[in-house]
Amino acid sequence: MRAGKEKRKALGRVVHDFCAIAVCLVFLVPVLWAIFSAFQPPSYLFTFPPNFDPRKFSLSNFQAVFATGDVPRYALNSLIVATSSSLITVFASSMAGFALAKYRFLGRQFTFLLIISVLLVPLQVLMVPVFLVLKTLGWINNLIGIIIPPAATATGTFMMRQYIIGIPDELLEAARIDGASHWKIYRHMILPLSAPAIGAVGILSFTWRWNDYLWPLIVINNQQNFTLQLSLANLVGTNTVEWGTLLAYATLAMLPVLVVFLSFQRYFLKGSLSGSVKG
Amino acid sequence: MASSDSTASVPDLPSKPPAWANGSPSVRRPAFQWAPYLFLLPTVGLLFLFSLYPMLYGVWMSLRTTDVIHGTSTFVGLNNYLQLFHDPQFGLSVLNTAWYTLTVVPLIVAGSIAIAVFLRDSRPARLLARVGFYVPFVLSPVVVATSWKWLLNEDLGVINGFLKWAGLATIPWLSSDFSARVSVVVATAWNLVGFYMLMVLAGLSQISAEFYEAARIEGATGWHRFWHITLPMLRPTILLVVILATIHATQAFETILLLTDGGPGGATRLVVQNMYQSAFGRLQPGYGVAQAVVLLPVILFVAWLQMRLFKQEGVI
Repeated sequence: MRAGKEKRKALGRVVHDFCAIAVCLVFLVPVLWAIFSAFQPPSYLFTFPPNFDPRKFSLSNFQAVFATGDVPRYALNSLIVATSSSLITVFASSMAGFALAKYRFLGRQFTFLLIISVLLVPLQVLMVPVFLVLKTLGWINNLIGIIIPPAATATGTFMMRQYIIGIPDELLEAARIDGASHWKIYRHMILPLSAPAIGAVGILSFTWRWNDYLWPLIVINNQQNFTLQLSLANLVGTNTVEWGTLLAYATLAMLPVLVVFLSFQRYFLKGSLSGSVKG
Repeated sequence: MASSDSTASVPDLPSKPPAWANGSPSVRRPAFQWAPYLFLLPTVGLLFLFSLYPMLYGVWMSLRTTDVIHGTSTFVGLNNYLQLFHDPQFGLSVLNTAWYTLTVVPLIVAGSIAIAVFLRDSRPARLLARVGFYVPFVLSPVVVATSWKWLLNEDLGVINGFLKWAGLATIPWLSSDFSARVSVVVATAWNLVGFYMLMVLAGLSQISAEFYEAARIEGATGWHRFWHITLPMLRPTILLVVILATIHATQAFETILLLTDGGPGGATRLVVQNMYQSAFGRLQPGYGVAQAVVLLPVILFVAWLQMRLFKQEGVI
């Protein structure tokens, strides 16, 4: 009697596990379907029921992507933008986080509130005046115009501050007594000690900048400076390109982010727990 | 790092930053120092140049009409704002933003709680969910829009393909008012819900099992336990989800722009897109910015709410 109950309970758990896993997989169908379709040769792309025979898969769509434009160039642009912008984010936010966490100075609370409230206003809302600021600076049609404006983020500053607060004061005190300058303490103690937070901020901002669409859209208008996202979006807008090619392009464009995400997954989780918004 | 089983450990957040470096410890009098200000300079400088100044400049711009071709602008007072009241396009976009936010945010909140409660008891699913449910969130708006456009394509998409195959009528997913609205809401909710689900899972892991044990002894049903233990204990998490999802929902403009381009006939055009079209399409930057200024108090209110919440939690 009792053993039967236990058995039923165990079976219930297995069923529950199975259903839960199924929910996870079903949730991913919209992306998985796009990737799956990217591998279909044109003759099978629109058939229903779809072709699940891997022997008929083909890479022709991926070859076609490179005929749509200077794709390696766009990829390089995306890489330049994402890398340099996230480097700036890491430096700016670790310095600001250090100041906010470990110094007591006039206006500390005010500055902190200013940073997290003002930077929470989405750039979307400010796009017109920011566009005009960029125009005055002569940054239109220049990669720098999409690198610099989003580099200060509320999330980055917040995460760095929270982490640096946890670094023991005694350590920094000792360095100060040894005569280390403020910069030296930042450079040789804060930076190495907050490596996990720096990793998290760097990886998060790399994916944000890689994924950016709105800034490239309003700042860049010559093909030379297109990012991957911008050129893909332009192709989706026109109806001249085959769906297979578009999906292969989308698969290529999401690949770096997926690789980064899967390798540094715990950093992303940390970001989501500190309540970060895409910044 | 946290053990692999606990879904997430919330980092310790001391409520007060320890005071350090008021001059050397032997000197009592706190000396003025430049260092913190210099460290803050890059962030505050960027913030000033690309957020604060544009905000003020925007307000000034909204009081003027710009002739983009001749590069001149004239002061028109509140004319741009008055014009907004008589602009049916703007009215429609306000209405759209309202129903959009009022459907997406509750959908995300309810969805994230439901999925998290469903997954919490299954260890393999929880581990898988940490990856699987986060994936849509790391995808770019362009990729999300492309994937959904393909899924929902009227003639070639798999959903209509299935309906046709099953002998049912196909649905014009992106080209009729109602279904385009549904599609846009579903696509954005899908994009964001996993992120919030993980926040809720972390919140759930903080609830002590003793509460449930005690409730079980007193004979509470599953629904009772959810209603009287889980939900009240999750309150802070849910508040945060509501606030962040509201901010997030405004940013979904990019996905919608690509998915429907605001169509059909403006049915999915939100205020941000209306502003974008006024400023960059019809070259009326002043009029465009006036729309942003109308939106700004709402956003600042949400930011203020978030700040209060953080204060309550002792984060600030």
